[in-house]
This record gives sequence, structure tokens and C-alpha cells, in this order.
Amino acid sequence: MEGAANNIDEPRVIQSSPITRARFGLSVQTKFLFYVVPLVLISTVIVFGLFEWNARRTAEQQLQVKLQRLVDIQSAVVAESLWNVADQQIKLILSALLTDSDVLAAAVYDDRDRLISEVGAVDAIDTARFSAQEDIFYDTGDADVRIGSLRIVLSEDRLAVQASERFNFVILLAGILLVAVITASLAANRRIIGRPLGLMMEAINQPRSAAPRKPVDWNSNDEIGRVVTAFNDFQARQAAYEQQLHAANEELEARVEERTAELVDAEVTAREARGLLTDAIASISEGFALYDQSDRLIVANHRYHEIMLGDAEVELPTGTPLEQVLEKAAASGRFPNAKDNQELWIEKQVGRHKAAGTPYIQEMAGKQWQQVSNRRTDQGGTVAVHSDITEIKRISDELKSAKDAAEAANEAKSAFLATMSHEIRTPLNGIIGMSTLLNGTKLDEEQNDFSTTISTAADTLLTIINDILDFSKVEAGALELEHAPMDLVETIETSVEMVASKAAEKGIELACRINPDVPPAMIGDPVRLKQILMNLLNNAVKFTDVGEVVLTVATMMPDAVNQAGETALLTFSVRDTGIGIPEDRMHRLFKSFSQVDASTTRRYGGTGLGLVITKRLVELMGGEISVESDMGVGTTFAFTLPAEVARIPDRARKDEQLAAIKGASILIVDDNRTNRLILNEKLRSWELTPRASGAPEEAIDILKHGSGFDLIVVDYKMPGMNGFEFTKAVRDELGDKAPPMILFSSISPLESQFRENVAKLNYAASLTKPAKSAQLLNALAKTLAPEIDTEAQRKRVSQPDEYEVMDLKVLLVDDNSINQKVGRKILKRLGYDPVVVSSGEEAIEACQSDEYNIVLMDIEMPDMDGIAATNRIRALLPDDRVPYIVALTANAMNSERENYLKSGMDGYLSKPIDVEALNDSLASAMQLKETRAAS
Amino acid sequence: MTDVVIEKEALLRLLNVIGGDPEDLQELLEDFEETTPGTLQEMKDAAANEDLTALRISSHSLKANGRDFGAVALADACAQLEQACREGTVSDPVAEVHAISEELSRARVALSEFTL
Repeated sequence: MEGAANNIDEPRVIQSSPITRARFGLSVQTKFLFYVVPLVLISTVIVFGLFEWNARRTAEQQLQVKLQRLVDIQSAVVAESLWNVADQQIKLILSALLTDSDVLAAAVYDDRDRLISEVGAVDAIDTARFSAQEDIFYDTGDADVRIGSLRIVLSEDRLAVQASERFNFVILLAGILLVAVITASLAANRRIIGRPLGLMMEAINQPRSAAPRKPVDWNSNDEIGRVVTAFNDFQARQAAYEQQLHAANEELEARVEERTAELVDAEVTAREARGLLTDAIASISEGFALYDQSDRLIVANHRYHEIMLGDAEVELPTGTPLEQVLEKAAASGRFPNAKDNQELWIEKQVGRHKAAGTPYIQEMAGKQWQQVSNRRTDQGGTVAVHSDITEIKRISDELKSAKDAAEAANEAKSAFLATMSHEIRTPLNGIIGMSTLLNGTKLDEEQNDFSTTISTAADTLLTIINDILDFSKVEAGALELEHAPMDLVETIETSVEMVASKAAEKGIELACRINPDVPPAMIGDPVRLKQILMNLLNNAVKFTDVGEVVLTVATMMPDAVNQAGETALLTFSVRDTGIGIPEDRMHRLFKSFSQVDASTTRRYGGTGLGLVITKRLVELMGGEISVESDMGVGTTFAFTLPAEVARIPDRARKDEQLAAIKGASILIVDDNRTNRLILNEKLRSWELTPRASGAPEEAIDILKHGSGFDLIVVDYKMPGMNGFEFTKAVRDELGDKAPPMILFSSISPLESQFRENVAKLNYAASLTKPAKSAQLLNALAKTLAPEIDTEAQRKRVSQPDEYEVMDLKVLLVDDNSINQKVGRKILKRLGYDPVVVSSGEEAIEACQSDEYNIVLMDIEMPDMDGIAATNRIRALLPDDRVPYIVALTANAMNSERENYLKSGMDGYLSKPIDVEALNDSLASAMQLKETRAAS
Repeated sequence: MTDVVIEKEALLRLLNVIGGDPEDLQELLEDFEETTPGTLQEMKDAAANEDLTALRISSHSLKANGRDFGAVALADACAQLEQACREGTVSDPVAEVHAISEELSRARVALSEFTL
């Protein structure tokens, strides 16, 4: 057999030793024999048994045959003798029979079965097995006569002898067979199985040595052979593995040595580090302790000893269980909570230690406080850090009570303010209302004077109170800004308008210039914006005696314009030619309660709060305010305002008007340069062709020399020649060819003398300065394109759907038929086609069957009032189908109005309906619709 | 020296707000003439039955109409009655309604001057 593994020397056959062989062979072979021997025996028994039986039968048969023949023959033989009654003869014959060894006995009987003669073992005659009786017949010549019978009994002895002979023979044979089989099997076993197994056994038992294993030498083509082959292979592989193992082992040992060396180094380093750490821990001011997984102390610094036990020197050996440490701590009396129930306290501390979660605070003796922080380590131990927070806690407690006190005070203040606001304003409103009414009644001059004074004083008082309340709201951070779309031009021009009369009284020019690329509508708080503008404009007018006040609005990002949703940055500036502000006072400007100096307060009045509020409002809106000033020259206040561009309602009419007057040439006559600039710009932005002149004479010259204009805009107050004179001059000059004229004036057109002149001179329109853009545009349109005016009106009434922007379904709810009609007419004029119902119930039904964007709900109705109907609608419809619901109320009380909002109305309008407020509500409803559509 | 029954400004405002078309105003004036007697009757019935709620609602209605057309005295009287009904301090409802009916007559006469 070839060795399969490497490193094997010249193979040497293994001879099994006889001892092993014998010992080994015995056990298997014995087993084998245990099978074979019984088998052999049994088969032998069966086979020879069969043989025996057969032989015996045959022998018996033969005997029987012999018996029969004997009887037959002898019966004939004895017949003669019997006839002759020769007893002696008979006896002789019978005795002759006995000579046959087989015959046991014989007997003759006469014809009457009487015994005549017998021989042999006569007792056996009746009992023997082989016994035959034959009738003896004598032939008398005529017939065969039965003269008697012969009985012969044969002995079985011979059979028995034969049988036993045979038996012995069989035994012998069987024995021989057995021996042969045993020997054969033993030999075969040994040869075929025993030896190879023995060899393998030896190979296995061979003591382990470094020498390579030798393969078992056995070749046979049977199973044993295959096993031997497999065994040899296995052995070879084994040897190979052992080789590898050995090699790996050696390598491992080498590495272990290496590592051990490294470890020794590391240990040294660790020991050093530990030493450093222990020093560090010992030196920190916090109590520090490290426990292992079983909550036994590993190490604790002096401070820990101090904190827990009161004494840095007391021993806490390593391995001390946590409970013991705690017991000692409790016993030291340093923990007030431990005094009552020590066990419970210890249990609690252990719980906290094990939980190792958020730090907690613990009270210690003498009003001291410590913070305990337990942290799990990676190995499952716990680190406990105790820090003294007595001082911190004291400060924190003080701060908390101070904060509580401050908050309480603040709340009280706010409550006070709210109450006061209402309480003060109510009677004040009463005074103002009453004085207005009073003014409307018949009064003589003196009474009128008094009444006006009351009005003025009340107004002033109201302003002051509003200022104060606003200011405190702003200071408390309680001011909320609205976010609604607002018409910028409208808002700005309205603010300017409010100041116009005061400016006119003082004789100073008031101008408003809005850059054409300023977006027309923004999202913001129009009321507050007006407040800011009016404050600045009022101040400007207040502190200016001669010259002008100009408000300019521009945008920093002209390209961002007009896209709803984009953010634009607007800049507002109010420039005046007033007394100016000294430099050293500039920083006090925006501070509360300070005017520039006390003398100005006396001269100019005011609370000094205006600018502060203005500044806060600007900042709340996200902008910044700044001021520049030159003493004696003027002041400019400027602020920025970022805001989201919004959609402007109702451009359609304006667009129509602009289209109708496009390209018209306009002559502007005004001595004030600023006004000329502003008008020029405005008209240009409307795509008209303006030309300006600063002197009326020059204007007349221009007109004389041929330039035809479609319209002239002329200011009333001009040096040299006033507006009236100019108009007369132009008419004189040009006659029929004189273009239509629009008059601008600062004097209130109600002054009768002025009005008469205006009427006489047949102006196309007479506007007050500064003219609102809408008013000016309307006047221009009416003058230059009068057809579109009525056409537009008619168009709107019959085809409201033509208007691109307004697309709202309106529901009007009012029980009064006249109110219904008025409401319907107003809405139709604005371009809507409302559905009108007369009760709360009908309103609910309508809202359920159709989707409305806005519901104008009268409050005071019989059966079901507006509030109840609104609540039903809100309850019945899903959130995104509920329309914008506006209360229509004749109640003038502000508090009532606020209640409506609280009761579920989205807004309120007072009756008689104010169209502007209505438009605002419609715009809000439009916003809601768009927001819903977008989401 | 004339007692102003109808405030012209109110009428002008109404005219303005409904679109400036005098025909519309005419329509409304006719409505006023037609419907106010009915409202007055409601008030009389409510006063007779001492039904303060119905009286309040009708007064409110007539007040609104009065205001729209500038019938200041009428509107104020109705306002007072409405408030009294709200507070429950109506002493003599029938008398109050009677006073209001006189105001209404005056207003109707004055308004008829504006109708064509």
C-alpha cells in the first residue's frame, strides 16, 4: 500500500503479533461460531432426522413385508400338519420359525381359534406390533377349507439395533461436520477478517511518536480491503493534520511570546496611567467613586469620603458593598432624610445608584445641597460624582422667585392695561361721538367754538391714550400685526391725505411720490403702516414752517415686482425742509418719552412716544428705520419694509381706463418742482406724454406756439398768476381749441367762493393736493375718454363674469327686503352676482347645497340670528367647504364687534355698508379661496 | 331753520354706494314706501302682545332702513326702542310704537319729495 501523506519513509509492512492475533481472533470468531454452530447443529439434526425417519420406515416396511410373506408361506406349510393334527410337526415347524432371529413368537389356532401350539415369547403375541395372523386353508380336493390360523410375531429388536447403529453413525458424521465447519470458519475468519483488523488495531494503537505512521499492508478486493484503504488514507490525512497543527502551534507560541512581551509593557504603562488618574481624581473638588458591577467599591477619592462620611481619613476598603457605604453615611448624620427611616433611605439610594440615570439633588445637613450623578461604565460598573451645589441652588431659588414675581407683575400690568383701555376708551368715545353730534346741530358761533374745542381736546386725548396703550403693548411684546393684502397706493395716499389739511393750513407743500415699479399690493398691516406714515408725516409737518414735505416710496428690487408670493423690499422716506435735529440729540430720538428738548414739547406738543412706537412697528414688520438731518435745512426719515407681494383686487377698471387714455399728451403747470416731478413720473407710468412747466407764462407760450395738448393740469397757487387767471388766459388765447383743464389746489374745495369760481371756469375736474392716484386717473379718464365710463358701468352690471380677477360666489343673508336690494345693488356694482336669502335657515340650506366663498350674514334676524346660523354652517360643513363669513351689523359698539369675531365670524362690516370695508372682506375671502385651491 | 327730517348726505351716500344710478335709488325709495307700513304693523302687533323679542327685531329692521335713507329721527327712535327691548326696560310699548309711527309718516312725506 502506498503512503498517501508526505514525509513518510519507506513503508514497512506491519505484521501482527500472534498474541494479538489470537486474542483478537477469538472474540469475533467466537461470535461467529455462536451463529454457525447452532445453525450447523440444527441443520444436521433436521437432515439426519429426516434420514432416520425414512430409514426406519423403510425398515419397518421391510419387516412387515417379511412378516406377511412368512405368514403366508408358513400358513401353507403348516396346513398339512394341522390337517393331520400332527402337533409335533406343527411344533417343529413353529420352532423352525424361531430360528429366524426376527421371529419373536408364533402360534397356531384351530378353526375355532383355540390355541394349538405356540412358541417363543408367547406373552408378546397379543401386544406386539409386528404381528400377523393368516388363515390356514386346506385343499380337500373340492374346496379350500379354513382349518385354523397362524399367527407370527416379529421382534423389533433388529430395528432398534439398526436404529441405534444408524444413530451412532449420524452422531459421528455430525461431529465431523461440526468440527470441519468450525475449523473452516475459524480459518476463514482469521484469514479474511481477523488479520487485517488486527493490523489496523496495531496501527491505531501504535504509540504516538514523531516518526511518520506506516500504512497497513493489506490488499484484498473486498470490503475489508476497502476499509483498510480508507483507514490508510485516514491515517495519512491525520498525519498531515498533525503536521499542520504542530506548525501552527509553534507559530502561536512564538506570537504568544511576542504578545506577552507587549503586555508587560502595556501593564507598565497602565500602571503609570492609573497612578496619574488616581492623583487626578484625588485632587478634584467633587466627590468621586467607582463601583463595579456588583456595586462594590473599587476606588473613591478623599472628597467622597468627606461627603459621605464626614471624614476624609476613614477607611473605605476596596470591595466594600454599596449598602455598607450608605449605612456608614446614614450613621454619620449628614443626611437629614436618612434620620427618619434609615433602611428606606438606603434602599432609595441604592435604587438611584443602580438606575444610573439623570442626576438628582440631595439635601445634606446644614442646609447644604449636593448634586449626585450616577453613570454606567462600559464594564457595567457605576461612577458616582457628588458636587456641592449649595450656592447654585440658592441663586436659582432666588431667580425663580424673582421671575415669578416679575411674571405676576407683568400679568397684573397687562390685565390692568386691558381693562383701562376699555374703560378709558368707552367714555372717551362717548365724548367724541357726542361732540360730533353736537357739531351737527344748530349752534351759534361761540357754541360752535366751544364744541370744536371739545372735539379737538377729546381727539387729542384719544390719540395720547392710544399712543400710551400702543406703547405698552409694544413694550410687552403683545402687539400683533395683521397679514392681509393691502392696496399700497391706497394706504399710502390715505395717510398723506390725513395730513394734507394741516399742511395746507401751514402753507407747506405736501407731496407723495410712489415709484412706478413699486408693487401695487402687498401683504401686511395697513392700519399700522398708516400709523407709521402718519406719525412721520405729522412730525415732518409739525416741525416745518416753510417749504415742503415729500413722501417717497420705492423698491430695492425692481425685478421682483408684481409676482404674487415674491418678497420685495420697499423703502419709504419722508423728507422735510424743517428746523432739523441737532446732532447731539439724534441718539435720543427713538427713546421713549424724550422729545428733542423740552422746549419743543411745549411748542409743538405731543407725547414723545410716536417715534418709539414707529420704530418698534417698523422693526416688528422686519424693517429698519434711520434718520438724517441738517440743522435749519431739513430732516429725512427713512425706513425699509420687506413684504410679500399680493394680488391686487379690481385692477380691471383701472386697466380699462389706462387703455383708454394711453398716449394722451398732458401739460403740467405747477411752480413747485417736486410736484412737477411727481406728476410727470406718475403720468409717464400711465403711458401718457406729459410735459411740465414751472411758470404759467411759459406754459401759455408753449400753448401759443402750436403744441397741442389733450389736457392741462394746473395748480391753483402759483406766484404771479394763479390757476384761475391762467385758465382765463388760455381760454382767451386759444378759444375753442383750448384743451380741457384739471385744477389742483390745496384749499378745501368746500370753500364757497372758491367753488363758485371753479364752477364758473368749467374745469373738467377739481382735485385737492396731493391727489390720490385713483382720483386723478378717474378724472383723466372721464375727461379724455368719457365713453368708457358709462360703458364700463353698463358692462359690469350685465356681465359680471367678464372680470378676470373677481370670481367669488357671494351669499347675502338679510331679512329686510330693502337691505337685500341695497346689498345686491352694491355687490352688482362691484362685479358680483350674489344669491340672496332671507333667513338663517335658508342660509344654512344654501351653504349645504352650493359652495359659497363668502357669506354676508345679517346678525339681527328673527327666528335664527346670524351667529346661530354661522355656527350651524360651521358644524355641518367640512372645514374646507366653510365659506368666509362676515357679520353685517348695525351695532356700533366695538366690544360687540369683537364678540362677533369670538363667536365664529371671520370679519364684520357695519351698516350702512362701507364699500371699502366690503372690498377688504371680499379680498380676504378671495385669499381664502386661493389658499384652499393651492393646498 | 328747517327741521331736517331727511339727511340728504345719507341719500347721496346710498346713491353712491349702489352705483350712482338714480333709477336704482328710485326703486329703493319705492320699496321703502311699500314695505315700511308692513314693518310698522308688525311693531304694533308685537307691542299689543307685549312680545319684546318681535318688537326688538322689527325695530332693528326699521332702524336700518331709516338710516339708509337718512331718516335720522326715525332711526334714532327705533334704535332707542330696540335697546330698551334688549334691556327689557320698555314701559309703554304701544306708546313708543305710536311715536315711531309718527316719525315714519314724517319721513315718508319728506322722502316723497325725492321720488319722481
